[in-house]
Amino acid sequence: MPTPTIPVDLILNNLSKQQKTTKKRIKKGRELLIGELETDLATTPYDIVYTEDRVRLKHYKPETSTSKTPLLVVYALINRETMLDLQPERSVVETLLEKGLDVYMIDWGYPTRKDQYQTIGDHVNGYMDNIVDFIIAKTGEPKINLMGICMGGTFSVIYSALHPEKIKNLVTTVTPTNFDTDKGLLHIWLKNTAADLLGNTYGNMPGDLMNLGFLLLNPARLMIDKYVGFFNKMDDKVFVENFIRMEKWIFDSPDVPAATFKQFINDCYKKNLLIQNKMEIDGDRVDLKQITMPLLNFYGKYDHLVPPEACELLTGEVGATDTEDICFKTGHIGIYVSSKCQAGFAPKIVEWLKERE
Amino acid sequence: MTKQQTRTNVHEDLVSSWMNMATSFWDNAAKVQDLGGVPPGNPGSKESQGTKNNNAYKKFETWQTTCNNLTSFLKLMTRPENQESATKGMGSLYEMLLQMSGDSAEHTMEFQEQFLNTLTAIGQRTKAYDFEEIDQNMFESFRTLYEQEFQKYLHIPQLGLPRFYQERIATLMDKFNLFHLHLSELGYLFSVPIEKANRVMQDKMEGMLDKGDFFDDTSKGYDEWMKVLEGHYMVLLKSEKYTTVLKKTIGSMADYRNARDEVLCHVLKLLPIPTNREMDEVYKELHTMKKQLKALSKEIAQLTGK
Repeated sequence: MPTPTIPVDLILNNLSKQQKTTKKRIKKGRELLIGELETDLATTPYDIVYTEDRVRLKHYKPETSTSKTPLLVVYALINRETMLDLQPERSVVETLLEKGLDVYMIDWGYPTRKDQYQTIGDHVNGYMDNIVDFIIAKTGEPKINLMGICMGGTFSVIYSALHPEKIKNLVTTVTPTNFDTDKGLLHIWLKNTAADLLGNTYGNMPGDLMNLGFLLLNPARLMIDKYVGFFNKMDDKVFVENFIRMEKWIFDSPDVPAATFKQFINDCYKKNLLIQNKMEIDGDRVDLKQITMPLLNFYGKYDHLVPPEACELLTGEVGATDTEDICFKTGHIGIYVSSKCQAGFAPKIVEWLKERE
Repeated sequence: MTKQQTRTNVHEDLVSSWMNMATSFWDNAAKVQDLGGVPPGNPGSKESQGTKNNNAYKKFETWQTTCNNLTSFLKLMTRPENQESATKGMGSLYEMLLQMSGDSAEHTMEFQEQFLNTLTAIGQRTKAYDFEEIDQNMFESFRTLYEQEFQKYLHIPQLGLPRFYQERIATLMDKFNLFHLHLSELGYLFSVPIEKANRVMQDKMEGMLDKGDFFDDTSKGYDEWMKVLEGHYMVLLKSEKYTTVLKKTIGSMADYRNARDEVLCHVLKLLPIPTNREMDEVYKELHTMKKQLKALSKEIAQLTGK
């Protein structure tokens, strides 16, 4: 039997070529990194029309309005709402404005130690309700459209159940409502997390600590491969700019008020009260059957933070008959920033809302 | 003469000679006045020069009395009738020290044995995608060693005026140690997938070489390694072992932070700075008042129709 031979010459030749290209790439990358880079986030112009404590309301005006009912976007308390306007031409806000929607967006700000006693009720029945009242008063419309993202989606579901008379249509995106699943690592870990201990120890749940937790969900990809990928494309200006924008956004994590964190983990992740209509906010039970307005529910098939199992039960549990589930073949952030989803996400929302104007 | 008698005589000789030596030292110390000191009242004495020297002499007198007392005590102890009990006392002290060091040595040996076993196991093959057979006994042994041999000293009841401060510092040290023990264990768990992925890749490359094949591009090899590593992490992160260690690490981190804040709070009390605890109380009151105020404002607005 002949001994197999290894193409050593081919391997060495390839190694030599790789070495040369790497050298060139590093040289160009170095020049790029010390040069001018366009990495600003959230560049779409807006006005601050309402402030309350640390919370601000951004108003994005369309050039030509095609819809009477304003849309209020509620982001999560984790990370920031700038994700919806991460970069030009890949901005959800930009698309909504182009299609003529009047957009309002809540900026939750950066909670400090004095905000540690704020509960979910303080956010939903306090800030959110005051903002909805403000928009209603400002526009003269009796109801508004509400769109929630991730934890902000959960807040929007709770708000719509408690104040259905003020909401015309509800849009939820990557919104966890069923927490009884072991599909996502986050669900497994949070069920085992001593939320009270952490909340009492830190005052507010530090954003950096939560970010570390998110990185540990897939350390090989998020802590090694991601930066190897950056190194491999560091001579591509557009790639570098987008990469830095994403880094800026992902590590800009406000702390979460301790009382909200504890309530969210205990009532949702550990007891799964919301989907069972057993959750109480400021003494009132959240009954999902009260959600009778049309509901559009988006989620990602490969979402490792909020898996489909955490999102897809909602439409079957609400009181509304006009409901729709849309599952994209993407992850948690991909829905908003991937070029593939840009065409199917924001335009779909506009179209769906206009049909229910 | 029996062996026991010989040992006792050796002890007695040792004690006796040590005591004689100590006695002569303190005798000499007491006689320092004759060598270098200047007795009061002598011609040329500086006593007449003022009270400053009187104070110095008083201090010397106290020192001399102490030396004399100690010399008398040691002389008493060297008497034959007292030597026996002194020897016995020394014997019990020796036994006590031996027992204490014996216990500690036993635990240290146990830990070292475990550590050596782990070192031996490092080169051995571990099953890919299996985290149930990870050798974590080293961490358990070290924790047991700490809990049985060191922790107790940090829990000794403190006495006197500064006892609360000492207790807080001891608690802080204890919690710091426990947190770092758990953190090391977590760090170790995190390193295991890398070791396992490297082993899988080695096997893969060996198989390829046997067939006369090899990665012609380093990125292909990296992609393969990354896939294997990710797979190993996914198995580890879902395992009960990891969840348990993570939970313990978070718990001990919280305990450590609380102990640290407790110490800091007391340091801040010495300065004109309010502590977190005091500010938290103010924040809570503010939060309640604000909430009530907002609810009242809403009610008024509704009543007045504004």
